[in-house]
Amino acid sequence: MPRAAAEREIDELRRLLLQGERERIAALEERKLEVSSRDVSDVLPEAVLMRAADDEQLSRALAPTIEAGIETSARKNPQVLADAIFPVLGPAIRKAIQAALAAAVEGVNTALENSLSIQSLKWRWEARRSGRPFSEIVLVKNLVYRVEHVFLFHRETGLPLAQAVAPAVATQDADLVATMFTAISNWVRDSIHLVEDEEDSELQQITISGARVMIVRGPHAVLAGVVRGNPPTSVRLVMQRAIEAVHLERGEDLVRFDGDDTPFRATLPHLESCLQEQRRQRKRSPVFLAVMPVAIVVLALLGVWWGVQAHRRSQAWDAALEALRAAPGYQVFGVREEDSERVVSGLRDSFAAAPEDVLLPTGVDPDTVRFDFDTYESREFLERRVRERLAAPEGVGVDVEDGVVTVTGAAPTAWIDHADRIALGTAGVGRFDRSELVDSDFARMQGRVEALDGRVILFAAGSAAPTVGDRAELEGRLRDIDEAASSARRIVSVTIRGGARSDESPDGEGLGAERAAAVQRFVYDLRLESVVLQWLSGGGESTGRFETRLDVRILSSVMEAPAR
Amino acid sequence: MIRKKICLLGAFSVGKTSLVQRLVHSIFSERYQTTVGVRIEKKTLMLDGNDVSLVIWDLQGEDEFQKLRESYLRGSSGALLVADGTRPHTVDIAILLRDRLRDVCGNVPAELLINKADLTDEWAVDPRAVAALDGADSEPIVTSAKTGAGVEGAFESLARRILGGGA
Ligand SMILES: Nc1nc2c(ncn2[C@@H]2O[C@H](COP(=O)(O)OP(=O)(O)OP(=O)(O)O)[C@@H](O)[C@H]2O)c(=O)[nH]1
Ligand SMILES: [Mg+2]
Repeated sequence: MPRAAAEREIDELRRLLLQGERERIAALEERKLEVSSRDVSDVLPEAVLMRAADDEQLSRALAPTIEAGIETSARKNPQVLADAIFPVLGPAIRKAIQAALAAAVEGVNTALENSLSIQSLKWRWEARRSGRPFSEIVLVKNLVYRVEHVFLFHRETGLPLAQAVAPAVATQDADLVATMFTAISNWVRDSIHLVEDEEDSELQQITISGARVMIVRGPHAVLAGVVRGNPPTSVRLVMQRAIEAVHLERGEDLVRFDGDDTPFRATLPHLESCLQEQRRQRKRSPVFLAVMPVAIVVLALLGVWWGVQAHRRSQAWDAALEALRAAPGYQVFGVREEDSERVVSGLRDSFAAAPEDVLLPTGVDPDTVRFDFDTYESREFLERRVRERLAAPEGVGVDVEDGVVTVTGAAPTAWIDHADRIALGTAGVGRFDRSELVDSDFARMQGRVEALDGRVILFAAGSAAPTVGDRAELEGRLRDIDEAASSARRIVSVTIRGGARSDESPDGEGLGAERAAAVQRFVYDLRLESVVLQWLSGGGESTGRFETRLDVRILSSVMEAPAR
Repeated sequence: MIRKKICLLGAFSVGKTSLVQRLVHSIFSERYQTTVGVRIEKKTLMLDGNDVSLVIWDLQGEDEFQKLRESYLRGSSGALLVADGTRPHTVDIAILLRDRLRDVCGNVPAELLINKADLTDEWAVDPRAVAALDGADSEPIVTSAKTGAGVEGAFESLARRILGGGA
């Protein structure tokens, strides 16, 4: 209709309407009608209900106000709206992803079908080399593109009107996917505050788990196609044509849509016209056909194996990360892409299984992944770590429980010192209990010290020179003590007292001191490593008795810093 | 209570045992009884309100410093290097013994004592010359086990340096 003509008509309409209005106002004034807010509030809920039951006028009247309200709310604080919409959106997205995974399995089935050709062997090789999932290679090589689903939505409400599914594609939950598309579409548009009629900037295409969703809009309906592969622009044109046809045939039904989708079943042929696909043409060579009977058996076996591999690989990546996270001694922080390589970063215990070995069962080719792990000491390997570091000798039992390390049995001092340091220096060891561990060197030393303690050396009358036999015995015993004390990292002190009979010399004390000095000199000249010759404090080297006495005591308690 | 092992090192008959007996038992004897091995004594000092227990290892005098054995020095927190003021040669020995001590115990504090200060007529050692020769971290301390002069101060000074961080 020409613009000028339209305006004329509206002017005419306005005149007619205002004329009636004026008369009605005059009539009202005569009746002196008085209406208070109170009265209106009393009748309002009932009035709304009544009117809503009659027709949709009220909804229409309220719609702009409510829409404006929502819009204002979104501008003022988008979070409020986001919070409200999220519970709806979250499950929908999750379910859609599951559906996409199911589609991926279908891709694997295709792969299995294809695994019986020489061509597919090449693709397997290519997949191995490039590190891409086999199914992806098959898709790219075999299938240029395929429109798998077509959904028709009501634009205003986002409700689905009809759907068409390509053969061999499992039917997905149309309600869910459609609601999700509408929600995502609206959401993206609203969140970036785009002007409504800027069609180009509206969401034209989204990608979900490798599947592309192409969207074509009409004034009252939206057509969405789920496409795998690389569709040519002609697909969009076909969809455009389909949505136009739907509007042409079902325009009235679209405007008056009240949730009943029966009228739209008739649109199915248009939707199905969008289910296009293009496969790459392959020719089978005569050689291939000749070896077919044999090859089919071999390839069937390989195919099954590879099919399983491919199936794994297609889902593998998430599983691989999950496996790494679950593997003992791993802390995975994240994954990033670097030059078409996946780089997994985090922490790894040196005792943990090699990352390649963790990935192996998940089907991800470790050659396509780079690991960027720093080492750490995990609690999971505490026991192994402690055992390995302690390297307990035979005769020592090691128990690790709840961060408490307990050792039992008998061990040399050197190992006990080593164990003390390990226990102190290993993260996760809360307590080191070696109260039940016998220090074998110390025990040996103690035995030898006790055997010498109290030893009496006899002298010829009037002489201060110990006999050759006594010297030899004393030296042997002291060297044994020295050896044990050195191993036990202790110092043993030897104290010698001298004595003489009163009839031996008029100055008995002098001879006793001489005898003590002779033995002391002898012991000192042995130059023992861990035996010190000690004088008793406050003198008393001479006992006034007929003998020289050896007092042997362990001195380590006296020393501030034991010789360790 | 803080407990520290210290050693007395020095040539024969410089008065190591006499110094310890003076400090611990407040006695002095003119009689010389040489020490074989080690004589161990204990003395508790009050330093700035804290008790410090010294475990004093009075070692056998050595003129051949190489003979001084590791087992006696091990675990020492410091040492008194004792020389005899009437015999200049004993200062050289004290300085050589200090090097031996540091081989075994690391850079622990050591005080150089020049003993027998009461025999001034016979003195042949100039403490200032000793200080220069020593290249020491502290001035030599002049003591007399006979009169007791400087004895307690020498032990306290060493204890202070040990507690002060061991330099
Ligand atoms: N006049 C004087 N004589 C001293 C002093 N200190 C020690 N003597 C004497 O010097 C002699 C040796 O004293 P010791 O204390 O036994 O010497 P030492 O360094 O322990 O000797 P060894 O144990 O043999 O190394 C003794 O006769 C002491 O009486 C002193 O300050 N003044
Ligand atoms: Mg002595």
